[in-house]
Amino acid sequence: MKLRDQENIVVLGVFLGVVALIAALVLAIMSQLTAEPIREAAEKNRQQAFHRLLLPEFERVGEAVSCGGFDFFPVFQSEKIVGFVGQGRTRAGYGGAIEALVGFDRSGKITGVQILRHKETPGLGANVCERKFQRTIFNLGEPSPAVPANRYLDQFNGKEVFSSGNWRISKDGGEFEYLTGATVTSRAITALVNEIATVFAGAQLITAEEEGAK
Amino acid sequence: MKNSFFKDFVKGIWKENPVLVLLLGTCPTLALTGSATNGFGMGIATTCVLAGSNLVISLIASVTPKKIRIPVYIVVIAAFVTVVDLLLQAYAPAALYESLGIFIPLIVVNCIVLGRAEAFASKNSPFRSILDGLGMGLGFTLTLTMLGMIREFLTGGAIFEVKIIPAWTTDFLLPGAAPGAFIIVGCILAVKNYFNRRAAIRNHTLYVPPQGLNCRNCGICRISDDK
Repeated sequence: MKLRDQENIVVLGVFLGVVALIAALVLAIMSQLTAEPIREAAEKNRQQAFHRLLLPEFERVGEAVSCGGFDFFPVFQSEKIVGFVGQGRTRAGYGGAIEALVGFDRSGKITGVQILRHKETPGLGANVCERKFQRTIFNLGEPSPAVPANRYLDQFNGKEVFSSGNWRISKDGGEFEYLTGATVTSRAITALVNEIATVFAGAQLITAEEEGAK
Repeated sequence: MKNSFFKDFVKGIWKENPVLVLLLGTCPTLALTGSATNGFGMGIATTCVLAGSNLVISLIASVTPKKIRIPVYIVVIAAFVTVVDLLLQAYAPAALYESLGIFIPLIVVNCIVLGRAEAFASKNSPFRSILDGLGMGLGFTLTLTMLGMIREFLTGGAIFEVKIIPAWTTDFLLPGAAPGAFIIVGCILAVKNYFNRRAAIRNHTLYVPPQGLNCRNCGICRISDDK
């Protein structure tokens, strides 16, 4: 009696169950083995994003302060706060959630915007989110700069969070450029940065944290 | 015998190329070839899954009851895909994982993987199945990379993210979108068929697809016929 000739539904079910069990076991082991490297890779990614925002003048990133649904990380230089990095996410992206970091200096100016995670369309929405050094055949040997330019993300640089600007894309009557074909992504990022900046301006974290330190 | 092993490996690259001859795996072919890097990454990920699943399936094929072989294959393939997904998350560059991320789970339903499992791995020895998987994967990778290069060049004047022509327009979006990919795949197919037919005419024969690719000889979709 060969196993494969069995028409018995119980035998079939048990066979499939055993295969699934073995597969689950292998996956459990793999998941255990890769958990640490995955966390490290995510952490490295985050650290790199921090570095890119406020480079080069900071030493360490402090504990997060939760505020208005966003996390704000104080950034220290010789035990003094030189700025904050706000982290937040929006679900308004074209491909789902977009997670962004926004750097603020002490005077409340935006020092940079960095997208941590996104699932936008490669070649379209992704171009708004990614900072990539444009290599050409003329600069093949050159090292890539610490903060590659992105004309859509760089628009926020130097904006004052305390002054009210028109924080919308130009299609909606605002002052920010957007990428043709990636309106949804541009709109989502502009709204998210605006929201983080508004919360940051309202929270007055800089003064609060200083007083706490004293 | 050696010759036949070599054939198992090489056939996937041109003669039975999964994208250009079998026309399988069209979803990743269209969705992921916006840039050469993405196409290459997807090709390598699929190759790993193909080789692994082909090996395991050829090992368990003889004990698998015929009636539930498709679910069993899918479980094996899904396990391999998850393993590749975890490995990519842990060790691949963040940018590559970000752009491939949502498509990796879709390798499970990539017809190439199930197709090779059913048409080759379940009937051949483990060693030959690995060769078949690697060859098919290589053919898939080469096609996706080539398509990615063409599309990336047409949209941005770049290849592998290196701008070849700095002054290239940024407004030509069609090749970067799925419809453009369809058109380019069509052009490549036309060229391939032209060469195949010309070779056949030179031999005074008609071009016939390789044995086993002809729909009449294939049993993948005839699940209800199982005895």
